[in-house]
Amino acid sequence: MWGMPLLTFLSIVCGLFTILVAILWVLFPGKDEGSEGNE
Amino acid sequence: MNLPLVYIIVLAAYFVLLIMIGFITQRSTKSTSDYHIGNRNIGPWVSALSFVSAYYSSVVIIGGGGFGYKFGLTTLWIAAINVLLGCFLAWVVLGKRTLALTKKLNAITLPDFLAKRYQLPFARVFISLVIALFLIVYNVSILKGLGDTFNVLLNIRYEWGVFISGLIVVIYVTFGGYLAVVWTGFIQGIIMFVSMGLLLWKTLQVTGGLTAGVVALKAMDKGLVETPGLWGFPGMISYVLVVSLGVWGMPQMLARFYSIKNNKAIRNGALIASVGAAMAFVPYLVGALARTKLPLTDPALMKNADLAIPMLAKAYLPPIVIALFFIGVIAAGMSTFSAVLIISAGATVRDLIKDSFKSKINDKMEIRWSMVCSLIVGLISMALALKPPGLVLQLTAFSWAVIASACLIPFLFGLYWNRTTKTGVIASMVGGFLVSIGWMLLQQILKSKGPLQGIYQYHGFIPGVLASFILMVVVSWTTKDIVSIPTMDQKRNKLNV
Repeated sequence: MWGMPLLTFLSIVCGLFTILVAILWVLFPGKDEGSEGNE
Repeated sequence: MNLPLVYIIVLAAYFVLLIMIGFITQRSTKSTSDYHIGNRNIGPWVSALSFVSAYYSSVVIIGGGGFGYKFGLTTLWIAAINVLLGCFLAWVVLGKRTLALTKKLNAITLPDFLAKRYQLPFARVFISLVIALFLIVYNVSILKGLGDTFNVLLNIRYEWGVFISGLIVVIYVTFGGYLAVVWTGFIQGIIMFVSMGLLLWKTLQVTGGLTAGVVALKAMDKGLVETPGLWGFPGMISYVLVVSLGVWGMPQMLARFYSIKNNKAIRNGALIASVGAAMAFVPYLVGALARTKLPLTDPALMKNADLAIPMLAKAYLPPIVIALFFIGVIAAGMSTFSAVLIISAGATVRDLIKDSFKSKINDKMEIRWSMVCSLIVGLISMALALKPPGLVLQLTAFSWAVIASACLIPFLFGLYWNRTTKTGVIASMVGGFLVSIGWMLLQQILKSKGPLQGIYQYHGFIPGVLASFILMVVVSWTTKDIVSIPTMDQKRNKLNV
C-alpha cells in the first residue's frame, strides 16, 4: 500500500487497529464496571 | 504582516493564556493533594491530552524528524508502538488499578504509593532520590530542546529561548501546581495535534502525495522504505521499547491515573489518548519524506539530522504553517517540562523532606514549600540548561532508562502480584537501577574502542527492566516477608473498590 513494503505498512495498520480496539473498549465496557471506580 | 511579527503575536497570546491558567487554577488548589495531583476529579479529555503532551516533548518532534530522515519509514514503528504500548495498553493495564489503589492507600506520588503499598519507607527515599536527580537531568534536556527550537526557527539566542520558555513554565507550575500542568497540557496537546496535522498535510502536498513520496524514497535507497531497513533490529527494538514501555515506569505519566475521575473516564481517556498519540506518526513520516527534498549531501544535515523538519518547513511550507509548527514544538517542550517539574518538586518536598525525614509541616505550609520547591527545581534546571555540562548531556540519555528500570517492575507488580515480598521489592528496585546504569556505562567504555557489537547494541533499559523483573520474582519466591495488595479479594483475584 502506498508503495510501502508489507512490514512497514503494518506499522500504520497497527496504529489504526489500536484505535479501533480502543473504540470497542469504550463501546462495550466489562460487566462488573458498574461502580465506575467511585467509592 | 511579516513573519517574526506573526510569531511574536501568536507566542505572546499563547504565553499569556498559560500564565492565566496558572493563576486561575491556583484558586482551586486548597490542599497538598490538589497541588500534586489535582482533586482526583479530572475528566477524560484533559487527562488524556495532558498525558500525550507530557509524553511527547519537542525532542520527539524534532528528533523524530531526524530519525525519519536518517533511517526512513521503518521509524513509523516507533509511532505505532507508542500508540499501542505507550498509550492504549498503559491505560488499560495500569489505569483502573492505579486509580483504585492510590485512592485506597491515599497515595499521591509514585514514591508515596510504593512506600505504602509495600509498607517500605526505604522505597520512598530511594525512588524519590532517583526521581529528583534523574528528572532534573531530563528537564535540562527538554529545556535544551526548547532553546534550540527558538534558536533555529526564530533566530533568537539559545539562552533567551531557554530563559523565556523555562520561566513561563516555572511561573504557572509554581502558582497553579498540578491543575495548571494538566490544563495547560490539555491546551498544548490540542496545539500539537493541530500543528502536526497541518505539517503532514502541507508536506504531502509538497512531495506530491504519500505514494509519490514513498516511490521517490525507494528509488533513492530501498533501505529507506523497508523494515528494519537501514536501522537494524537491535537498535530499532530497543529504542521502540524504551520510548513505549518506558512510559509504564515514568512518574509524570503515571500521575494522570491517580488524578482521573473514575473508571469510565479511564476508558474514554484511553481512546482519546490513543488518537492523540497517533500524531507521532507525523514527525517520522515527514522526516523520511524530507529526504526526497533535502539531499543528505547538505552539510548542515550531515552534521545534524534533527534539522530535517525545520529546514523542510523553512524551505517549502507557507509562513502560517511554519508559525503553527513552531508553536506546536514549543507546546510539546513546555508541557513535558511542566509535567516533569511538578513531579520533581513533589518527590523533593513531599516524599523526601516531609515524609522521609518526618518534618512536621501543616498542609498550608506544605503547599507553600511545594511552590518554593517547584521554583527552585525549575531555576536549577534552567541554570544547568544555559550551558549544559557534558555529564548532564550524557546522563540525559540515561534518565528515562534509569527511572523506568527502578520504578516499572515494582509499580506493575504492586498493582497485580499478591506474592511480592519487601526483600523482593528492594532487590528489584536497586537491581534494576544498578544494572541499567552499569550497562550504559559499559556501553560508553566499549564505544570508545569502536562501534557496539551484538547484545551491547541494546539500550540499558532492556537489561535494567529484565534484571528488575527476575530479581522481583526470584527473591519474592525465596523470601517470606510478603506484603499483599491491601484491597485484594483473594478468591476472585479482583480489587475491592
